[in-house]
Amino acid sequence: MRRRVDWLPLLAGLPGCAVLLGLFLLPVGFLIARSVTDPKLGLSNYHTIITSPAYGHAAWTTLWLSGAAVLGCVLLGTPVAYALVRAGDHPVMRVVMAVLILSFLTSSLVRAYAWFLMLGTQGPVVAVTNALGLGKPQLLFNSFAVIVGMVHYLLPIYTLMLYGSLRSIRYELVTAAEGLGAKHAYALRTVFLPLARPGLVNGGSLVFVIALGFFVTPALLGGAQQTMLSQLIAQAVQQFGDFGAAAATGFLLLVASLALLAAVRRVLLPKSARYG
Amino acid sequence: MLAAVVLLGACGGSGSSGGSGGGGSIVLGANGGSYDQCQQSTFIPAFKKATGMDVKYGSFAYDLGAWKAQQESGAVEWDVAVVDASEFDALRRAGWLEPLGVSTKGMLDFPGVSVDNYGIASEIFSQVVTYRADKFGGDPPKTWADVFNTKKYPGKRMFHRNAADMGTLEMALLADGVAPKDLYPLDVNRALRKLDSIKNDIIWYDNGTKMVALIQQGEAVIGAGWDGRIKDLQAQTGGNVVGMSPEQAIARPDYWVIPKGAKNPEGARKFLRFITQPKQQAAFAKCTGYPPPWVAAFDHLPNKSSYAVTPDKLHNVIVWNSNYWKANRDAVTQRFNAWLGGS
Amino acid sequence: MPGVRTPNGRVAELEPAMAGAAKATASGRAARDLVVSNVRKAFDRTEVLHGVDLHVPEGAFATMLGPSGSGKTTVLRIVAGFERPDAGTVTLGGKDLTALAPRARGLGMVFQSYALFPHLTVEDNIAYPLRVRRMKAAERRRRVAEYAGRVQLEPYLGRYPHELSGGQQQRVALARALVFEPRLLLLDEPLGALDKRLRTDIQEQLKELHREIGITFIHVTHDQAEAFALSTLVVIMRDGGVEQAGAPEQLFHEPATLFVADFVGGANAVPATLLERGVHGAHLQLHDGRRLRVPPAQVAPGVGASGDVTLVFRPDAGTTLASGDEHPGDDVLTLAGTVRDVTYLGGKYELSLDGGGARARVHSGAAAAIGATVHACWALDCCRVVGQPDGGG
Repeated sequence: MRRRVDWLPLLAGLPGCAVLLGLFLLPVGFLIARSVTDPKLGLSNYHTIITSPAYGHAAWTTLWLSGAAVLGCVLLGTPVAYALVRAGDHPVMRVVMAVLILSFLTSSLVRAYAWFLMLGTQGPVVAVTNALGLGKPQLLFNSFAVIVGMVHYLLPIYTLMLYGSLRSIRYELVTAAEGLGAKHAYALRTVFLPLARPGLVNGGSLVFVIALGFFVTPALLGGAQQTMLSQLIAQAVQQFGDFGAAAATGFLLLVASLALLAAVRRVLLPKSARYG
Repeated sequence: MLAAVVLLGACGGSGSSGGSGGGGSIVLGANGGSYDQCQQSTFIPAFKKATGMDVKYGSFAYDLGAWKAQQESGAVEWDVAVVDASEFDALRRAGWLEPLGVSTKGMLDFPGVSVDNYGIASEIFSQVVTYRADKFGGDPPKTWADVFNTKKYPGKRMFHRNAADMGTLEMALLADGVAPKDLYPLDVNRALRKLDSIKNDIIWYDNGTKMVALIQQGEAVIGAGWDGRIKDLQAQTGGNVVGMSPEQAIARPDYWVIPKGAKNPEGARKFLRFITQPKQQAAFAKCTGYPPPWVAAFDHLPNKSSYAVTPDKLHNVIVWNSNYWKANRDAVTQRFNAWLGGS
Repeated sequence: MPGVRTPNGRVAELEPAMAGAAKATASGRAARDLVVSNVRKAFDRTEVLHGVDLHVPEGAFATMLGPSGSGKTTVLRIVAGFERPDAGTVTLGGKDLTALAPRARGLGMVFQSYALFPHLTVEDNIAYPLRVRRMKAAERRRRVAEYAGRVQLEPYLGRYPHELSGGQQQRVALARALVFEPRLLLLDEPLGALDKRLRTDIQEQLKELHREIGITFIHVTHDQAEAFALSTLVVIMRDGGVEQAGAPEQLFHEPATLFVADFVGGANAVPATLLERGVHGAHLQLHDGRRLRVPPAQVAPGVGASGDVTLVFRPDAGTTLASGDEHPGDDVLTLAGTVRDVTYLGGKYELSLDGGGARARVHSGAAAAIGATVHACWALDCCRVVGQPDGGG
C-alpha cells in the first residue's frame, strides 16, 4: 500500500520557509556574486583579503574575542540559568529574570558606553582599586574591556536560551541518582550536565555567531588590537564603498563560522540525536 | 551584520522615502550629532521661512556604501548633502554628482573650497592639538611635536584610526620635524616610525562621539581633536577642562553636493544659494565652531580669533592635500592598517 | 482517624507469607523491620500526613493502597528520604533514618516514570549505583549481568532507554534499583503506565523477584486488585492517615471501616442503631424498625457500646430469594427493592436494587427484569458493623 503523505503541515510551513530561505539564500547569493564581480570578475577580493595582514589579524581577533565572550557567558550564565530553573519562584530570581529581559531593551551602543564610563580612569572600578591601594589599572581599550562588553550584551541571550532548554530536563532524574547513592554534585555532573549539554552547546553556538558580528562594542571599548572583522566590513562599505571586499569578507566569515560551528558541535554533541 | 551589508547591496536605500516630489520640499543627508542640530537651529528654519519649502532629513550621507547602493538602484534619497573631501573625490570620479550652479564669488582664498562646480565648501574642518587643560594648563601643548612628547606630556593620546582622511600621518611627520611645505608626498615609513615611538600610549577613535568621550572622560589627556566638536565641548564644560591649539591645524573643506538623480535638484540649488549668504554662514559657524568658507561671513562673527582659519590668517594652517590622497588613499590605508594590526 | 488507626502490635503479629528466605539472612540479629512513627508532613501549610504509623516486617511485600491524595506517595518519599517529615521518625532495623540523606539510606527505588537516564545505555543505567559505589569494573560487569539476567534484559544492554518498550524500561528501573542489593525496595506505582496484560506479567515477575531476593518491598498503588495480587501486607491510606493495615484476607473479611469495605471489594451499606453489645453479639435496629443480632466477631474494633453505626455487606455474599420465600429466618438480613440495573459478570449477574430508603447490589444466578421487585438476603455472619460513614475524618 502506498504511504499517504500528509500535505497540510507542509503547505502550512511553506510560506514561512520560503521567507526564511529568501531572506537567507538570496542575500548570500548576492553576497557571493558581488564578491567575485566587484570591481572586476575573479577572485581578486579574496586574494587581497587572504594576503592582508590586517584582515588576518582581525579574523584571529574576532575568533578569540568571540570565543572568550562565549566562555564568559557559559561560566556566568550557566549557574544563573540553573538557579532560574531550580528556584525561579524565589523573589531574587524574579528580579534576575526581569533584569535579563529588560537588558534586551537597551541598545548595544548604550550598554557599551555604560562600560566605557564604568571601566574608565574616572570610573567606579578604578576608584575602588585605587582606594584598595592597587593603583589605577588601564581597564579600557584592551581585550578585557571588549570581552566584558560582549559578555554583558550576550549574557541575557545565552542565559534565557539555556533556561528554556534546562527547564525541559526532568529534575526527577537527579533525585533518582541521589536515591541510587550519588552525592548531589556527582548526580549533577553525571546526570544533569550531560542532559544540559545540547542546551549549552546550542546557547554557546548562538552567542558565538552573534559575537562574530560585533562592531559597536569593540569600536568603543577596544583598542586597535581589538579590531574585529565586522569593523573592517563596515569600513570597506562606508569609507571605501568597496562592496566587493565587504562581500568577500562577509562570505569568508560566514563560511568560517559555519565550519567552526559544525566542528565544535561534532566534538561536543556526540550521538546527540540518540536521546531526546 | 552580514545580512545588513547584503541587504544594503540588494535593495539599498529603499527603506527611506524619497518624498520630495514637487518644489515643496527637499531631503537633506544626515551627518548626526551637533552638526545636524546646528543646521536645524540656524539656516534651515530661516530657509523654510523665506521660501515656504520644507526640509526633511534622510539617512546618513557620510557613508560611501549608502551612496553606491542608491546610485546602483536608482532610488536616490537625498537632494543635497554634506560629504568629506575623500568621499567628495570618490563621488565626483564615479559621476554621481549634479552640477551645483552656485556662485563662488566671495569665498575664502583657501585651496579647494570649490571644485568644478560639483562641490562647494560647507565649512573648513580642522584637526587640532587637543589636551586636558586641567592637566597641562600651566604650559599647554601647542604643536604635534608636543603631542608626541610623552615625557613632557605623559598619558594616553588619541588619534583617528582613519589615517587617509584624518591627518594622522601628517601629524607624525610634523612632529618629527618635517616642514609643512615638504609634507607631501608623505614619507609613510617615517610617519609610521614616529607613530611607533608612542604606539603603546595611543587610544584610537573612529568617530566623533568616541573622540569627545575620550577627552571628556580623561581617558586620553592629549591628542588630535576636531576643532568644532572641541569648541562645543569647551562650551559645555567651561574653558578650563579641555584646551586646543590652532597652531599646525590640519585643515580641509567639507563639501555640499547634489546627488545625481536627486528628485528635487532645483530645490537643492535654491537651498544652497540661500544658506551661502554671509549671515546664514555666520550663524551656522557660531553654532558649530567650524570656520565658514566665506569672507563676508566673518564680518558677522564677534570672536574671529577663536577660529582655526580666518581671512587674515589663512596660512597658519596646514592644508590637507586632497590630490595626494586621491592617488594614494588605498595603498597607504592598507599599509597603515597592517601597521596598526601588527604588535 | 485516631479511633480506627491500627495499633502497631496488631500489624507486627502478621507473619509474612514469603518471609522464609528473609528470616534466614536476618538470622542472628534483630529483624530489619521498617517502622514509621507518627509522621507528619505539610506542604505550603496544608498538612497532608496527619501522624502516620506503619510497621513493615522484614521480608514483607507491603503495599500502600489508597486513592490519589491520600498521602501514600508522600509516605514513600519520606521513607526514601526525598522528603523530610515535619514530625515523627523512620527507622529500619532499629536504626533511625529520619535525618539521613537518600544516598545514605541505601534503599532502592523505582519511580512511577522509571526515571531512567536517557543519555546512558541500559548497561550504564544499571551500573550507575555501582559506579557511585566505586565498585571494581570486573565485579560491576558481573553484577550488572546478574541483575539484567534476573529481569531478562541481557539482549538490550547496549540500547538507550527510548529504544525500549514500556515494560522493558520498567525492568531496567527494577534492575537498577536492585543491583546494589539495597535493604529495601520502594516502588512508586511502577505498573501505572503499563497496559493490563503486561501488568499481570510484571506482577508475577515482581513476586518472583521478591521471593528470590527476600528483601522488603514497599509498593504504592491505587489499584486494589494489584495490591491484593502482590502483597503480604496492605496498608489502606485515606486523607493523610492509615485507615487499616493487614493481610489482604483480613482487610477483605474484616474491614474496620466503611471506607475499607468499599475500597477493597465494594460494599452495600445501611445505617443502623446499635442498641447494645453482649457476648452473643450486637443488637441493631434498622431505620425501618427491624431488629438484628450480629455475631460479636463481626463488630469492627472502634465501634462503641451503642449509638449510630453502619451495617456493611458485600454484593457477592448475598443471594436472591424466590418469591414466597421472603422470610428465610432471623439470622439473615433481607432487603426488597426494585431492579434498577443488571450487569452480567460472567456466570452470574449483579442486580442493583432500590429499596426505598436503601440501595444495595446483590449477585444472582439469574437475570431479572428491570423494574421487577426482588428480595435478597445476607447471612448476618457475613455482615459487618462499622462506624458511621464519616465518623472518622
